[in-house]
Amino acid sequence: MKKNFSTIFSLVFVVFVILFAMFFNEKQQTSSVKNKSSNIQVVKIGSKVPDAEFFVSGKSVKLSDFSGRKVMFWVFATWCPSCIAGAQELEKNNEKLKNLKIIATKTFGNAGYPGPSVLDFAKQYSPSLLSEKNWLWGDLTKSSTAVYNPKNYPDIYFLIDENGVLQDISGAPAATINKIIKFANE
Amino acid sequence: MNKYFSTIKKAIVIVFENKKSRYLLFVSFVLLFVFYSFLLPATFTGGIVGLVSLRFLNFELAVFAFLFSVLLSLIIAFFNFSFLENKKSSKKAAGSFFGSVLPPLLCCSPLLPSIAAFLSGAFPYSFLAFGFLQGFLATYETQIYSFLVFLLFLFLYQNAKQVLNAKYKVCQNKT
Repeated sequence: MKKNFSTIFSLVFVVFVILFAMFFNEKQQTSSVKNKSSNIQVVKIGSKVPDAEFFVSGKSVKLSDFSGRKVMFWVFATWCPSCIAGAQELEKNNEKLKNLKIIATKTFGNAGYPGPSVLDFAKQYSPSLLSEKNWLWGDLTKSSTAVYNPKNYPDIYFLIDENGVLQDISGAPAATINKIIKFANE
Repeated sequence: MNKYFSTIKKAIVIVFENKKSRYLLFVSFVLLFVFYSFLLPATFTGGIVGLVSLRFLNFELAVFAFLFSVLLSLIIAFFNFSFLENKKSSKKAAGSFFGSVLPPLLCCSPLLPSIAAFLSGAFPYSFLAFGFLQGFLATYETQIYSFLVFLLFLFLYQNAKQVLNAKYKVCQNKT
């Protein structure tokens, strides 16, 4: 009896996890298709990046305000473990990243799950970066999230050169730190 | 609780007497430990599994990787032992696939930690965006992994009873 119960329980658990995953994946895909069809702006490697708007301490800031500088435009969710590891790794390597303006923005909706505010995230995981001049922490607007992160990835960044041309799109800065350092110093 | 531990202990002693089972246990433990040591930290690398993810193996994840691999390798060894013993003693076990092989497999014991680890972060973000589910699993990772260890322990107990049943030809289910 106990054995049957455990078997049924584990089966139900696995089926539940799979159905849950399928349901939310379907939902995400549907929303990203809608976003794609309603947006004309495209973020493409080798092309000039569209402008983006984000809020820093309640003040509206544009991505185009930093044209002429190399920019790492990071869009992330504050619950995501790779973002935490990324913030810590970037903090560790910030001396090598001084040539780069790093704009870290919380994606609109926080990729589908609640989490701390962007400033609380920075205070907790990479406090020294709050006072670094090459860093900016903000909240990406809904319309800019639709352009830069229509699929609601929890961790995605864009490497933009001095001419505003997108050079690379990647994620998980902790695992790709060498690429970022290379871009900053080449 | 003592009942659980003593049953598992007896089953370990029985299985360890068998050379092939000892070998299976050792090999599966090594393979699973390596697998989980690479897989679990992938949550910090956005799904990249490899030497990069191994760099993020912290103490907590190493403990979970160890527990998962110990429990799973014991489950595999127990299952293998009881299956072969049953096969030797009765045609029923060999003929009835659904009765013998499927229930332990359907317990999904070897799959549960892997599913959780994959969903919580090892799936490359660029291929799959689960949003809420990933957020939930990432936020409660420690609790979920602890719960899985508990489930694996229960599965291990079940399989330990199967080992004792197979060894002493007792069918507890008939009582």
